Amino acid sequence: MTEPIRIVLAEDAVLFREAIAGSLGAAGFDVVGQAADPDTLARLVEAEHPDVAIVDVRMPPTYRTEGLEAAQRLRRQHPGLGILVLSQYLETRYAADLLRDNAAGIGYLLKDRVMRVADLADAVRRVAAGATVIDPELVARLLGRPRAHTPLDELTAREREILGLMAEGRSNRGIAEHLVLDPKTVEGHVTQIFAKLGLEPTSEVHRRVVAVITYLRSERD
Amino acid sequence: MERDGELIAVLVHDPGLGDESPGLVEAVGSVATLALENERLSAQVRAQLEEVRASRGRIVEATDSERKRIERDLHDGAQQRLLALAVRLQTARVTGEGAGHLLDQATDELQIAVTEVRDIARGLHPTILSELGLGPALEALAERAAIPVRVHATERRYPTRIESAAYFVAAEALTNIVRHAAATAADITVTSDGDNLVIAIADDGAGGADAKGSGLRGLMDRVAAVGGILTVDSPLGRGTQLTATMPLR
Repeated sequence: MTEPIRIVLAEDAVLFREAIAGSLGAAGFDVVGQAADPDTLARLVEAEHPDVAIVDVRMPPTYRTEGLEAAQRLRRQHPGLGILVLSQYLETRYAADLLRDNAAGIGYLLKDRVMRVADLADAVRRVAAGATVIDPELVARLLGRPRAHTPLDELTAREREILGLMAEGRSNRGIAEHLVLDPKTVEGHVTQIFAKLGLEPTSEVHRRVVAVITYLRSERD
Repeated sequence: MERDGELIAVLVHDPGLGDESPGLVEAVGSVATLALENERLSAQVRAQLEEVRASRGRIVEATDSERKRIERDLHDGAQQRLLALAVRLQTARVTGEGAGHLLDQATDELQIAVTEVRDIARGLHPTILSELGLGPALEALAERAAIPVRVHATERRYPTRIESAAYFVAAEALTNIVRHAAATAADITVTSDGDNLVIAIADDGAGGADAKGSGLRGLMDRVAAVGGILTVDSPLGRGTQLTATMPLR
């Protein structure tokens, strides 16, 4: 049996934090530390060397985006650490800021996702493995945003669906499994999508997420 | 008698008076002009006071109706849902209904309740506005709009009350555009000369917006409350542009 993934959890609302810790424990993860503020989080990461830090955006002292800044600092100090940021509100701007330097092993999820243990567990595992995880709701908002004529109109329904899964951080294999398609078929679609949108193809999944998110955000009809 | 070259009153007097005491008519004239000017100024102040009273009343009314709306949203939405869920869980305890199915259902209901509460909270004040300022908050607003909205704004920060007022104007204007204007797109532009912040929201819709309507009235009050003015340009068939100019100091 492989070692369980070790997690440090930073969230100032005790009730919520204990609940997530319990659910992660039940899902087979090892929660090695809990923090209510960014400083404690930093100390715990130093001391425990966890695989993943789960961080709430809003934390003391000002309850604005301390968590986000803490995540970016941890990122610089511990490049190998997986970081999953949970937020009460999804803002594409924050996602873009988080992904900017190095998107590998970064996740940005709506807080509600913790309600589904399986979804949360999946995100933690992916982040621990160095993947990028972007909340489907944020991707749906970016894709569904009304635009005047745009290259996105050239995409088929299937290509649009695949573009969304790419933005969520899925690999070609992940997309193939999700849509029950042959991986070769997915590869073909991905090539088509990049050609239609005029994007530089990249095989690295986390770079691809950044390219797609940046494209969807900057697209102004 | 004139003020700034404009005829404001006529002094009617006995024609003989001018001959008997030459300075008198002129003296009476200048005193009367002063009195008239005083009366004019105090009438102006009274009218301004009246307008301030009226707008204060409207702001209180608007706040009240907004609170009622939030109460209604919470009551009809999350509160009902949570209550129904509690009843359902207790019923299941009595009837011994299958736990797995029930728990899934309960989670679905809770998910919806959480979403409703979040939407209400975000509507009250988006975090991104206090955190990153007007430009990024407007971008986030545009992303959620039902029509394409282009934002032309920098990341520059302004006083909190001005950022809030500007955001409120933009959010309300977009709501109005989507509801009434039959527009295909809108532009939000923020500029500043250092003394004023100017935010303009323009659409390509039907025009003919009623500046006296309660929606625009409310926006004018909101802008006036921070010492600014809101102008409405809405020629029939040629779109609408709202422009709020607010002093930064």
